[in-house]
Amino acid sequence: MQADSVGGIAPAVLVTLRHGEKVLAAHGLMLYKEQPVQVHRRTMKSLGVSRTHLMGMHALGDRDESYFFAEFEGPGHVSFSRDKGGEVRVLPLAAGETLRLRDGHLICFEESTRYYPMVLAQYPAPYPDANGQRPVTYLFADELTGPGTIVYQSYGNILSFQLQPGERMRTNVASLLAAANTVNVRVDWLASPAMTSSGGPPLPVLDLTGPGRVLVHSGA
Amino acid sequence: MQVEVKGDYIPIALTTLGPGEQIYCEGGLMVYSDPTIGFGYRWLTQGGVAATLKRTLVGGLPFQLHEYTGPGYVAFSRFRPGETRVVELEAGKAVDVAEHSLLLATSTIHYDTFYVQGTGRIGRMIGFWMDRLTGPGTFAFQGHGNILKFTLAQGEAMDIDHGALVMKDASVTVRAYNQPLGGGLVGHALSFEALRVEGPGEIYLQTIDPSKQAPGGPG
Repeated sequence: MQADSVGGIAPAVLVTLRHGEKVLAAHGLMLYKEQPVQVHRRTMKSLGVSRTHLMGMHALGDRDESYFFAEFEGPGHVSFSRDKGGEVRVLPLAAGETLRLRDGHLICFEESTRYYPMVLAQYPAPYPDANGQRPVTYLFADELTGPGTIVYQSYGNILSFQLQPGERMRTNVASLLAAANTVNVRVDWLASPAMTSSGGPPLPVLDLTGPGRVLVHSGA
Repeated sequence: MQVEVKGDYIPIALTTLGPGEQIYCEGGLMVYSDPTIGFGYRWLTQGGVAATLKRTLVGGLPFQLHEYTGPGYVAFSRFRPGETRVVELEAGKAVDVAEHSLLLATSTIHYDTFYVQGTGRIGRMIGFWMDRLTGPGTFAFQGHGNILKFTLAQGEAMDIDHGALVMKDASVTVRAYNQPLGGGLVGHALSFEALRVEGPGEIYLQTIDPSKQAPGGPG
């Protein structure tokens, strides 16, 4: 499978499939396809994602999660677009290499790639709401394991970091686009005496510890 | 008349008109103009009262176009991110531009509209309007996002997303269909709307589906 980014304002990805090659994409992302390209339905179950797991994700509030992908089978060209601005990147994953990509950014992936939706991190609201509850925010991700090529799109530009073992960095909760599975992701809180005295809530941030690749996007 | 596209992300089309030269566009697209520019309306009544009511009350198209007369300069924008293209139309050549994509056209271009039928399934696509422009003259249009151009040979077909078509030669046919997602009843239930375009001619696709823009957003 060959994948190329085309355009600059709202880039699309052009995938070239040889005979029998398959690429999976979320439903509704197709921009155009050549007629020889066949369209099938690929259930999450066939990818090894159980219905129980998906229902659990839905219960936590991941409304974007679908029960199937659209599968496109070559030969021919098929193009996808997420209908938004931001960089499109094509990333070949080596065998066993795993990337956790925040949900809503995956465009398509080669059939050989293992896909699994997951919760990357979670944190409760800093203060109780009117009902005395502290609602939990879940950060969902698509876990993708090679071998295979994946294509994803950020909000704005992508900044890439390679963390050494034990090396740490901190990102805004919304700014983390992806991290390798070897990167430890923990929610931390930023709070200063000035914030506390003025009644301002502490700010949740992500504390990342290497080793591994971290991708941050600028337009979150 | 001269047209110059300025800017990349949300570009404007800056036109310079000689004395008496006229252009028209949809209302609300002007960004700025020379005070010497004259302004008027071009009423759209082709097809009679019933066709006009269908276009305006059902289709959401305007009753009239705005007309600007030189001398002077006037700039237009669709106020959204996307490429702008300027096209010279030969005499007698016709092209179709998707609704709310035309930026401006010289008064020598004949303007008409037509409706591309949807699949008609409940809860599915209901179709969309296109502007038919017949030369000679110059016009400009703006896509949502980037614009991709393809040339189709006689009988060559391509399947595209419903919102992807921004412009085509009038010789290219377009029809809506439901693309099943796999086999069986479930595959049909999950089918999505697409367009099949067939050559000969050129088609221009846009990388953002206008229907997926934020509600209340421009354009």
